[in-house]
Amino acid sequence: MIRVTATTPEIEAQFRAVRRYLRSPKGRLFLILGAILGLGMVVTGRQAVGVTAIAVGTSILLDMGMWAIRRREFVAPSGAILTGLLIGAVLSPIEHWYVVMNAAAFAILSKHLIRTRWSNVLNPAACGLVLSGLVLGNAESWWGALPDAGLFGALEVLLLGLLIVQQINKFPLVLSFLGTYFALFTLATVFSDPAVATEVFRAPDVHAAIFFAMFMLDDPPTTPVRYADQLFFGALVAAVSYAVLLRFGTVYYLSAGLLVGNVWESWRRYFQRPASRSTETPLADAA
Amino acid sequence: MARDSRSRKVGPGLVALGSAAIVAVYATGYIRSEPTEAAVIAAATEAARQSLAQSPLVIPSQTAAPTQTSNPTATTTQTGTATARPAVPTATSSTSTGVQAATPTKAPTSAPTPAPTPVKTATPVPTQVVSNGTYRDGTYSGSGTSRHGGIDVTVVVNGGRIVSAEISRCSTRYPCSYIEELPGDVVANQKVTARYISGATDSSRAYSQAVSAALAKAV
Repeated sequence: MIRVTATTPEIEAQFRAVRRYLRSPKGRLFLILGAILGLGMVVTGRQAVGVTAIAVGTSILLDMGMWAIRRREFVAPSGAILTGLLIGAVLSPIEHWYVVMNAAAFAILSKHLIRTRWSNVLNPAACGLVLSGLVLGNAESWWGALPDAGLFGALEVLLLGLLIVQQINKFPLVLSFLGTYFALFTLATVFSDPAVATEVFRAPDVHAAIFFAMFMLDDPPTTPVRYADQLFFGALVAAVSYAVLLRFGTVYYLSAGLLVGNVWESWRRYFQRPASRSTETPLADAA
Repeated sequence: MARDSRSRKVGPGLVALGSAAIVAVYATGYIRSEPTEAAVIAAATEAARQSLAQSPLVIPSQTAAPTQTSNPTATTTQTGTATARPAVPTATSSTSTGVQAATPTKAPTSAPTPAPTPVKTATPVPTQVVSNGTYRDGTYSGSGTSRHGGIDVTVVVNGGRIVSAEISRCSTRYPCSYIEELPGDVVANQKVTARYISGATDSSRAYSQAVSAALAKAV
């Protein structure tokens, strides 16, 4: 009885911290991704649980280890959980366990090793997927984008994603990306062989594009704040993704486009706006 | 501008306008690519229908050893890409295994074998060995396509039985490791199976097409 009374303030403090986290962009992203992936696991099957667990587990362990090395202290792996969820949502549920672990490891290592003084340069999940694709040739099914749920799945991802986009104020970025992306492929159907772009307008690719735009593209630490920069960033990512798909036909064309955008943004921060360097944004260590 | 972007958010009217524009562009692209998509589906459906139609319905393992062959070790390699619509008899019945979008008539699995199989002939065949199984012995290649890319297979028939149906070339966007169990299925079932791997449906379909095209040369 005495012990309960003594620990109540601590419990309340922890409860408040959890509530603060869940109200933050990271926390909201965690809740939304959890809801979407929960439905995705129901639709896709238990293999999706396995691939997600492997990705999240690897991300958490490696992230905690990297923080311990860098700061000699424990840092809650909230960003690593999001990274793991995103990688698990993209990789195929029947992917080999070591491929999933590699993708997660590449992601976390890129977050800790490729960074400026302020934040990581590359989107960790995108970096992990691209590097893993280059090294191991993994596939991406984007089951977390709910392609098997058809139109309902696309709408759910879209509507829940809008909650995040609205909170972090990235509407110009998302609209610019989706507009440019579909415009380029529509032009491809007009001026070249329509077969080039057929799959982009259908599941699972269209679901993937929406999921990507809502949850990966707008990662605050690696994307611009100003609306004009957001517009350019979204168009750049879309154009590079388009070019990568047409030139190389790789499954990770969206992530590759995002990495190019991240590099551009990092360069812009370095050389164009040296006076406005600030501390990390609310999602600084998010995926 | 930076301060404006941080403090103010895009109004719902602009968001709605932008979203409407994106939907319009998307719809245009979707409609423009619809004929191509329909053609791909039609080709896949036709290939699946033909693969079911020409699948051997008497499993060669039920027959005796290939004692009728004049030269069991001789094989013939048929190279080149097979056509998507192999000239196979269409009078045979299909198995009861379903295929997406395919509309074959379901029939009992104990239907007769394809007609043009000259089994149990004593006449020596100089280049191709004919056994008492459903297929002629040899090594056959076939190709299948999907909107994600193509797959080539090499099917080896020995003693009238399919002994392997390996993927010889994989140019799909997705790794062929996802369908690595399908060759085993073909060997185990001695026919093209209509089982599609979840998450690799198009690759599975392309593989089935390729094996069908190869086996069409073996009947």
